[in-house]
This record gives sequence, structure tokens and C-alpha cells, in this order.
Amino acid sequence: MLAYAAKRFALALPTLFLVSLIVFGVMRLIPGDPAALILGDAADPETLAALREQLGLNQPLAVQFFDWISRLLGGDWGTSLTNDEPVLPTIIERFSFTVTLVLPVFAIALCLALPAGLLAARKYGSRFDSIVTVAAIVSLSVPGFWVALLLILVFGVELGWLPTVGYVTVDDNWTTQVRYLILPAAALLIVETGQLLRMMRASSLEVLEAEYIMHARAKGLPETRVAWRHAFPNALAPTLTLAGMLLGSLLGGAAVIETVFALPGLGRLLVDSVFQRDYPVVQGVLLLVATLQIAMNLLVDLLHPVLDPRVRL
Amino acid sequence: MTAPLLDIRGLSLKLRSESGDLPILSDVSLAMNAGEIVGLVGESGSGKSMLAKALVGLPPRNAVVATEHFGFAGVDLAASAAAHAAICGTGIGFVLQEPTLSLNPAMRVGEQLAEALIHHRGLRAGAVLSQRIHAALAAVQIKDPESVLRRYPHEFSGGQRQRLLIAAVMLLEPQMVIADEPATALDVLVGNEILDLLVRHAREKNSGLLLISHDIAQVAHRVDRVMVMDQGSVVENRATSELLRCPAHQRTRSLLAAVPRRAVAEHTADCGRVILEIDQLTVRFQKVRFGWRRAQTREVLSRASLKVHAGETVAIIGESGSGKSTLALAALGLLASASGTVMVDGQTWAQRTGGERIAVRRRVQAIFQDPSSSLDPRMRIEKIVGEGLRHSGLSSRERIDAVHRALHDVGLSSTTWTRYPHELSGGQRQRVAIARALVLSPELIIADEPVSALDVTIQEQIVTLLDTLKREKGFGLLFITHDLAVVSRIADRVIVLRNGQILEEGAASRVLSAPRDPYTRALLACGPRLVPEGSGYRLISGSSDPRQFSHEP
Repeated sequence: MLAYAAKRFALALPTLFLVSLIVFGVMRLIPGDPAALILGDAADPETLAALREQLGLNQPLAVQFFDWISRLLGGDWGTSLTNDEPVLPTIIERFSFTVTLVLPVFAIALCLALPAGLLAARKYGSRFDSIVTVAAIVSLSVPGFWVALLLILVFGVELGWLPTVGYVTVDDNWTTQVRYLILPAAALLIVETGQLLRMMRASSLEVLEAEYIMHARAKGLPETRVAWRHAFPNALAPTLTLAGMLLGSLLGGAAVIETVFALPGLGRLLVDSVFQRDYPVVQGVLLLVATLQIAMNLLVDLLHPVLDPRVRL
Repeated sequence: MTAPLLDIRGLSLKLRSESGDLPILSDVSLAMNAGEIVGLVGESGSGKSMLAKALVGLPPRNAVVATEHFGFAGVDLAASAAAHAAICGTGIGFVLQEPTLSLNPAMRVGEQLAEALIHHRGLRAGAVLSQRIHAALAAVQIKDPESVLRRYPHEFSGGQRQRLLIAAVMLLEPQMVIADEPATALDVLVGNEILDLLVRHAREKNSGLLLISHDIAQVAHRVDRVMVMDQGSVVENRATSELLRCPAHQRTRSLLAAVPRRAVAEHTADCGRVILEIDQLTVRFQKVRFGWRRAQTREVLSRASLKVHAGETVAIIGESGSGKSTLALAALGLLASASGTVMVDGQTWAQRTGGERIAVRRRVQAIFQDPSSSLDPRMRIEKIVGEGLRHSGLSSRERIDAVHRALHDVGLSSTTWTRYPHELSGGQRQRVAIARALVLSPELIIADEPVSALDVTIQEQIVTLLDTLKREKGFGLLFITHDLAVVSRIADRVIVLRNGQILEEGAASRVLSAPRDPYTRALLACGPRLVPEGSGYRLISGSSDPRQFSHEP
């Protein structure tokens, strides 16, 4: 197991290298000289040359790339072109916000979807099953921004129970912070639970038809044990793969929800920096998002054998 | 006389579907005494599995079961589902058909054995529990219990898993056991041991045993009484010897008649030229880990040599894992990593150019085991059969004629020609597969277990068809099977394969009557033991002990 984990980790490194190469390459492929961009239209050739020298833009691409990589590894992710802030602390701050929003939402989504999916499959065709199925389809089909707007309209504007947009930091007031996060969290929850629910129900249906379930029942085991000890772990494996991918992309920023609620998350940072052509920030965020996705995939692959011992390591 | 242990009257079962109810069982009555061993035989689709599931109270979701009386150990269970559930495991034990699917893959064997004991007997993990489990494992001849209990099901072979399942059922000491085709998914030798084990255990514990099988020969010598099912009803229910002596119902007679007997017909194949010649073929499979090929290899075939002449049927007998399917793939030129030579028509696959290979492929056709997965479900029968004729230079008229001729030759009526595979029965589908091979006028047909997925009565028809076609068309037939009885019906020469090695080769009559290799002798000893006598049949018992050969790794 440990040897396998080490090997998979070692295999993730070339992937990361490739990703960084692509991120670097894309930024160089986009027309326009970063130096000219920084200085604006008014730049005279002399200052331009000086800045190019300073940024290392007159070096060969390979040298630039390894220079960039070694600075990345050293913690220097460059400075933002728009506000001269260092990139890494900005990204970390935004990312930690996204984590505080996404992780609880995701945990709740799992706690709702997994039991509900299994129960719906066990009571296939019942009223509960119909409710779950319809809820999952609704959750899958409504767009996130629409749910967000609807929530703002009902709970923020009409009822006036919760603040509509914006955010205060933890230092200000813990309860106020939570009040600001309720609506975005609810919107995320509504949009993300459906996929997990549907997957869990589908794989539970399949597992409950399996021969070993019949064998367990024929031994006279109580239905709760059949469901939770026999069916659940087997039905969980495929859902877990989906959950890992979902979480990976959510941690990369719930851009739409963050934008609608004007939250300082990673997704909004990416969107804003793209609009402002803030290349160092875009590069940094892309790199982090890709790393997250790779890490989540690795985690899911390592968890798989725990649920299904047939998966050999 | 005491009341029977199981007493069922008027059981019927319907499956609900959107197009109306489908009756599966109608008015089934059966009674079993404590300690009685009863066989339940019938073709697939006759309702025997559904009856078993209804008996243990686990019918499919869309089933509607009704009984007039469901007595078990003097209690009527028809009224209450809870009472029925209460006899699961401790009253009636249930052994399912497919051992590789019947153990939870994500749970250690030990927990799966212990859980029911903990639930029913209130035992805690400890000395008593592990002592009972060890005793049960010893009873099913599983060695090294400590390490077995820590392992997961996928680490065991099919036969071992069936033993573990039987142990799990026996641990609860049920008053009767229902075993639904417990040997069908296993190799012949292993399957026989499993059946013997079930019977021996039932006799020792004086518990009832209902042995379900599609193969009347397999159960006849093991049971006191046989019930024959046909289309959802029990049509005959008599003591075994009586039933064999004078079978009354038409279905019983057809089941008995379909049991292939080992009266070897004198095959006189006028050997034509050599079509397939395999010389010193060795195939190794490499274990691939993390995309790197490792030196670790497993030899699945070692230095196998054989010849097939035109108009000759060569049968390869072997159990699963013996390398017989690998041999078929190599003969078809579909294995790249093999040493030795495979020559079709005097030239190896490797010597030919791509175009030549395609031309040769037309002359070497294959028929596979499972016709439901070897036919494209989205194509109509005519199209499936005609596909191989595309780019053959024939006009579309000639192609259609050839397809119809082939379909006619395999005995499919024209009403089926425009249907899809799922609309046909298993036997009809295998006929389509044969027609698909036949339409290209092949010189060699390689048939890999072509009848093992079929019912016994259908097997008989398909084997006869292949034999007749071979005589008419004169192609060579390489027939791969694990079933000796089928071999005796069709083969001119027999090759016995085990663990990748050819143990014995010779004329069918010689190998089947005077086998030289002890393994062949063991195989022969455990086959069907029914001999026609007068208007009925007589049972004969086997001779040698095949057990020494069935030890699995």
C-alpha cells in the first residue's frame, strides 16, 4: 500500500511538470509582450528594454521556464500586475476562503446523498424513491446562478432574513460571518447534491441485486446489516470516484456562486484576473487548480482499495 | 407418519411487468421430510430457480407469490412475511449458483462466516465462535483456517468459494438446505466434489437437501427422489429409481434422452489434407504492473502440438484454466506473443501479408461459447450472417442467397431471419453463430465451448447440427469443451489438455474407452452415469477417485 502510494505520487510529479509546462506555454502563446502590458502605451523603448531585462524576457524560453519553476518552488509566485501584491499570499487567502465554504457544504452533501441514495434504492419505486429521484433531477438541471439569485430574492430581499452579498472576515464576528455564508452554501448544496444522489442511488440499485446480497439475506441477517454492512461499502466505491472529481473542481473555485454573492473565493479571483489580464495571478491559480485536481484523483485512487479489496495495489 | 418438514401446497408466482403479469409458477405443491434428499430438475426457464427463491422468501422485487399453505416444521408461514424471514438461515439454508458472485467482495471471509452466527446465536467474537467456524471449514475441507478467515473472497478459486459459501450456510445448522445449481458454474471434477459434500453433510446432520439442477444425470444418483419441473409446474415427482425405470412425463423423457451417453459412435473420418497444424506452441502471459512489463510470466500453454485435417473433428478437453481457449486464439492467429508455429494451409500467420491474412481469416471461422454476447444486439440476423460477405466480390443478390442458404442449413425458419438476437432463444442464437461461420464456406471451424451455455436438450441439437454440417461441407472442426459426453458424440480425435500441457491424444474411441493418462481416467469416472435399459434408464456408479486431480492452488 505504502509502496503503491509512493509510486502513484511519483507518477503525479511528471503530470504536474506537464501542467506547469502548459500553463507557462499558454501564457507565452498569448499575443502581446508582458513588459509592454505592464508599462502601458506610454512606454519608451529604453524603459521597455530595462523591464524586459528585469523580467528575464530576453532570455531563451527554456531558461525562462526553469527560472519560473525554480522561483515557484522557492515560494516566489510573482506579483500581481494590477495591485502589486505578491501572488502566492493572495491565492492562499482566496483558497482558504473557498475551502471554508466548500468543505462543509461538501460534507453535508455527502451526508445527505449517500444515505438517501441507498434508501431510495432499497425502497425502489416507493414515494420516497420518487421524491429523491425528482429532487436529484431538479438539482442537476437548474443552473447555479439561478438558484443563487432565487435564494437572494426570497431570503435576502423579500424576507430579509440573511445578508444578500458580501462577506466579513473571521476576525470581525464569527456569527456574522456564518450568516453571510448561509445563502451561498445553500446554493452550492442544492446544485451539487443531485449528482452524488443520483450516482449513489444507481450504484445501490445495482449492488442490491447482487448475489451476495441475496446470500446475506438468505442467512437471515437483519435488513439494516444487509444494507449498511453489505450494500453500502460496495455502492460507495463508484460514488466516491465522482465525489473526488466534484470536490477537486469545487476547491478550484465555485466561480459562479462566488461571483453572484460577491465572495472573495479562488474562482472569482481567476475570473477577475482573466478580465484584467493579470497573467501572474492567472498562472498561479491555474497551477493550483490543476494540482488540486491531480491530488484529488490520487486520493480517490488510494481510497479505492480500502472499499474494494479486489483493486490490487 | 410424522408431518413433513416442508409442506407447500398451491404455490403460484407471477412477475409483474408493464405489459401485464407473467405467470412463472402455477400451483406447485411439494413436501419434504426431515433428512430427505430431493432433486429438482428442469430446463432453464422452467421456474426451478424462482421456486427456490420463493421457498427462501426472497423472490424478485416484481414478483407476486401466493400460497394456499406454506408449512415449515409445523408452522404455516403463508400468513406472515416476518415468520418467513425468521426461518431464513436457521430453518432453510440457501446455496446459490455462482460462487464468484455470492460472497461480498469487500468483506473478509471471517466476518462473512461469523456474522450470521453472531446474529442468530448471540455469540460474541471469541473461542466458541472461532471453534465453530474452524469446525465448519474443516467439514468443507478448507485448510489453514486462520489465514483463510483473514482473506477476501477474490483470493479464492470458484470451488473454494463454493466451499466457503456452503460452510457459511452449514454453520447455522439449518433444518434443510436448498442448493440452486451449486455445481453448474464449476469445473466437472470440482462440481462433483461440491455435490458430494452437500449430500454427505445432509446425511450426517440428517437435514433435508433440495438439489436443483438442469442436468438430471448429475443429481440422479445422489438423491432419493426427483421432481421434474416444466413450464412452472411440477410434472413428475417420484423416487429416483422408479422415475429412471419408467419415466412417465414427456419432459422427463426428453431430459433423460438429452443426457449425452458415452456410447462412442465409430467415427470414420476420411482424413483430408492438413488444414491446421500447431507445432510446439508455447504461450506466456506477462504480468503488467504500472505499465512496465515485468519478467514475471505465466506459461499458459507449453509446447502444444496438434493437427486438424479437412473433414475431421478434433476435440480438446480441459477444465477452465487449462489453456484451451488460448489455444483457440492462437489457432485463429489472434495471439501475438507466442513461440512455436501455427500453420493454416501450410503457412504460418506471421508469414502472410495483411491482405493474405484477411483472406485466410475467411477460411477459418470461430463459434464462441455465449451466443448472447457474440452476436451484435443492434443487428438483424440476416445482417449478422451476411456481414462477413461484404467486400467478398459477390453481388448483393448472391450475398443474400448465400445468407439464406446458410440460415436454412442451420435449420432456422425464415420467420426468424429479420429478427434481432434478443428475440431468439439461446439455441437459435447459437444456430445464427454457426450460420455466420458457415456462410464463408470455411475450411476450418474453431468452436470454443459452443454448447456449454445451453440447456441439455438444446446441446444435443446443436452438437448434432455441427456434426451433420461437418459431414456435408467437409470442413475441419476444432471443438473445445470441458464436457466428455459431448466429445463422445462428435469427436474423431481427442486431445486432453491440463495446465497448458497435452496429456493424451488419440482416436476418440481409444481415449474414451481405454484412457492412458490417470487424469483422463478421473475425468471419465465422474461423468454422467445413466445407461438406457428397457423403456427407462439404469444408474451406474463411477470407479476411480477424481479428487486427487481437483486440488486447486
